[in-house]
Amino acid sequence: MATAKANMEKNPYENMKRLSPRKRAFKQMAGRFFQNKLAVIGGVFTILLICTAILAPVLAPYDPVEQDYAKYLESPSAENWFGTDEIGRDILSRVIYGAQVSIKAGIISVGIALAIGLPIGLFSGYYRGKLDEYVVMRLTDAILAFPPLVLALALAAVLGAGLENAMLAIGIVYVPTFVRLMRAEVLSQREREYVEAAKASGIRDLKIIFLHIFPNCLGPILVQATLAIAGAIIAEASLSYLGLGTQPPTPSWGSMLSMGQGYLAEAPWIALFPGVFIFITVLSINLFGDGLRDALDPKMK
Amino acid sequence: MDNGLLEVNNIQVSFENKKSKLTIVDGLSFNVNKGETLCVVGESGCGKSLTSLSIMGLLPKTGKISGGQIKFKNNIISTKSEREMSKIRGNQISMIFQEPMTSLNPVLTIGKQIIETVMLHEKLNKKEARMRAIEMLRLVGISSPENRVDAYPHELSGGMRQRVMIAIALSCNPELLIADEPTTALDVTIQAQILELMKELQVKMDMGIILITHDLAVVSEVADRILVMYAGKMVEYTTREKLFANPLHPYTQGLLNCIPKLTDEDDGEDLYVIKGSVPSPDAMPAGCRFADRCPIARDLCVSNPPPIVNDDGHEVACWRYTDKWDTEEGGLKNVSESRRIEKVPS
Amino acid sequence: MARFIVRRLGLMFVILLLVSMIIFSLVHITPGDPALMMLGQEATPEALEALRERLGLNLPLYEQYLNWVGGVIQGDLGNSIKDNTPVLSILLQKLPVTIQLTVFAFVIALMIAIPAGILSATKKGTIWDYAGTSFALSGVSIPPFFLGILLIFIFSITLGWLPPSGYVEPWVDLKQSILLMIMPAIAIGIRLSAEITRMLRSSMLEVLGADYIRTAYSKGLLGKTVIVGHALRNALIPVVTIGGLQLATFFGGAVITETIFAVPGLGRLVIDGILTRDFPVVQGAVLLMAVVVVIVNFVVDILYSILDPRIKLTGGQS
Repeated sequence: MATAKANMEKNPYENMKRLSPRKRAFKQMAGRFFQNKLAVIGGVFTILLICTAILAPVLAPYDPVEQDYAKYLESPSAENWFGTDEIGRDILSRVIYGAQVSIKAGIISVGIALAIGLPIGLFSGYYRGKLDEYVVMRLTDAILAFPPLVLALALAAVLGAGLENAMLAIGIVYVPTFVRLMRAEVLSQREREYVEAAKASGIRDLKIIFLHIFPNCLGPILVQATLAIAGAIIAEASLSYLGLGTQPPTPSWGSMLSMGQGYLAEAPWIALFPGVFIFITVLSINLFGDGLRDALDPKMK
Repeated sequence: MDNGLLEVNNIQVSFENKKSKLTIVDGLSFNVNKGETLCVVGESGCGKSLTSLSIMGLLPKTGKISGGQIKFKNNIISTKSEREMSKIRGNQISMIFQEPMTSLNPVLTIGKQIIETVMLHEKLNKKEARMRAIEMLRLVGISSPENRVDAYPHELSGGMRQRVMIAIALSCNPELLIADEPTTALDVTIQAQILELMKELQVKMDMGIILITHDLAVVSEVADRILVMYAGKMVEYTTREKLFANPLHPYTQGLLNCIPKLTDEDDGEDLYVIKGSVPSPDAMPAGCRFADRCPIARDLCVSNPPPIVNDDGHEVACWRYTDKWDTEEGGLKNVSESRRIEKVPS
Repeated sequence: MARFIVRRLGLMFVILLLVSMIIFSLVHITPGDPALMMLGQEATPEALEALRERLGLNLPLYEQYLNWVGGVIQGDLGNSIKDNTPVLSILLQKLPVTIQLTVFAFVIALMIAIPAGILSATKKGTIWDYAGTSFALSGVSIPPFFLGILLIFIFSITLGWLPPSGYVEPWVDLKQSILLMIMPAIAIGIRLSAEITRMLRSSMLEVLGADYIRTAYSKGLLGKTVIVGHALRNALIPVVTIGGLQLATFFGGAVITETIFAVPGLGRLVIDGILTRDFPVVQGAVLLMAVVVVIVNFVVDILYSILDPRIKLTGGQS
């Protein structure tokens, strides 16, 4: 979409003259993104969190599952920055390892949703027809009628508790969102001249779909996927909080909160630190996603 | 000045932010008498609309009147507070806008939008206000107003909506009506009807009208006096008769030449256009703002703003009509080809 | 109008049918033995067989589905496995609690969101706008369970102002009932409030630039009247649709919130049902939630057309 527009506009930047339209559009978009301070802060935090997750074994001062009954429920100190929990585990180490679970859950769940949702939306939107209107659309309607978390809970319960099943359940719940979005994008693209031209010159449907339409829909999908990752992280934490996600002793922010809830009066740090981290993570990703959206579509604000 | 209604003295309208200040309307003066129509003419972006919004006290938040004053019935209104102005707006001074399609609130019935104005300014109860609304709709030529009063804007055509706008504007018997390109968005036949209606109501209510337009054909029909603006400044200001009989300013001459004349005997005549474009407000030339496009501009014009010459009530801002014009040497030196009024094949 | 409603009702019927199939298949088509799933690994073969018999699990799938749907239509949602009480009566007992929570939460959400949305739009670029926007961003980013715990920590444990959890019927002790509802309602309402603030700000900004707002000022109306009488009404139109769509998310939040604050509503029922594998109860509660969401969205569609007279109810595409 952005490329087609850049083609039509007169070149606004002299020094970009030699770039291809696609590259130029990208450069302009990046320029707009970096002007948005909040979005950049969100992006930086997101990258820091991903690094934390990857480098958890190096960064964590202690083993996150090692119990030390000699120092249970200790308040934050020089030795244990975030304090210890009811069986003497180091909260900081558990929070750092918890980042692994959250980031992984966010990315994999949304990956599953994209893998299922995008092809359905793509073909459904391109071919339209009865299958699209009566099956795909009504089925997404029906799934969207369920409270997402309740559906994820029910699926996770049926599949059995555990991180893998939780990710699958969350992924399935997000499928209709991406089917709808992809379909809407395809519908708006398939009426454009370039698609008509490609059809007229006898290019096969599959080629049109994947080489022409799909790349032009990527912007909004990228934005939605980013925001969905934030939602999926909350969903995983919710399932873990309710005991249907990550199983002990693996540290996950959601289950740490649910454990810590019982000790709010005497050891509030058990619950508060993982809670603050979920909040910061989700906020950063949301800021980044919002910035991405504004940069891709400067008209919308 | 017994007849005087509105007096605009040397006003300046500027937009300011932290970094810069842009003056869009600069040193404009004119007045409007009771029962009289003043037409303000100029290209889009010359500050016509801002002038009218400044009279209403409706400039956008970043804009303000940065100089001069506006008097309405001998009271200064340009410094009045929002609360004081709101008593004048819609009551003594009303305004209608260019876009009838979007100027009415889509979720309220037209009746409600008239009633609201009436009840705001006059001590009428709901029933009386509704009667007035119906009466106003009848006055502006809407058939079966008893039923239409409960219609929503989207149920009416563009011309009908502009009639409703006029009904709203006139519902409290204003003394001055400002019409900002009221017919531009309408079909030609509807345009004529709306202008006819405005003229008729003007006589009935003895209103002063400021009609803002870029359509000289309209001007020649309805104006008593005409103010020609260019890039935020007045260029010529006189009666209709004088202006059409003897346009003094090269810009006015250019505008009049732009009207294609069907009656011209010479069928092969080309259309005139004024070459070039209006200077942008952040790069206003030091001298005459039209110099860049003027076919007769001299050095004098490029470097010095022209004085206003008053020839028996015919005001024009042009060096040509001053003594300096003849004494100036080698005037055409800096004038390039592009500044001439050129003939373009039609 | 009538044609639109009929068409929309038909669509609603189809969606409800699909909803019932999804709920049914959740338990019955997934791999594994539902009876085993319900009773757990340590169940005896006799107990399993008895349960299969009782639930009709030995019948062909389509017959099981028809039996279930037939029952549902007659108001028979089956019986709880735990204590054999009819699911319907359990739902009817829990529903008012959740309705009470929902009403509280919506009131709180709107009380924050409408002023915040208007202020941040009309005073764009000022401290008000930054406050409103930050609230909106934080509100959608804070998980409801963390907010709930945070509230308990601040208002119950540290300040001691509010009771930490529990539920009392309003007619038993009105004051205590309200005090107990405040924190759950905030925990669940903040997200909704944040979404509405965000929506309202952007739609308000769009509306404030509209020609008819200038017209309203030109009539001599003052700022407040223009904003409330002309701008807000238009700006709320897109917000109403979002409000409807948010209801589903809202029920999800109820599961969490009711768990944290020990509120015996539908959400708590779902999670208890899942944890104790009482599937008839889960099916019933989830079905009820989905039905409410579908009906509310239907009502929102109708409301939308009342708010916006430009929408013609001719029954076009959904």
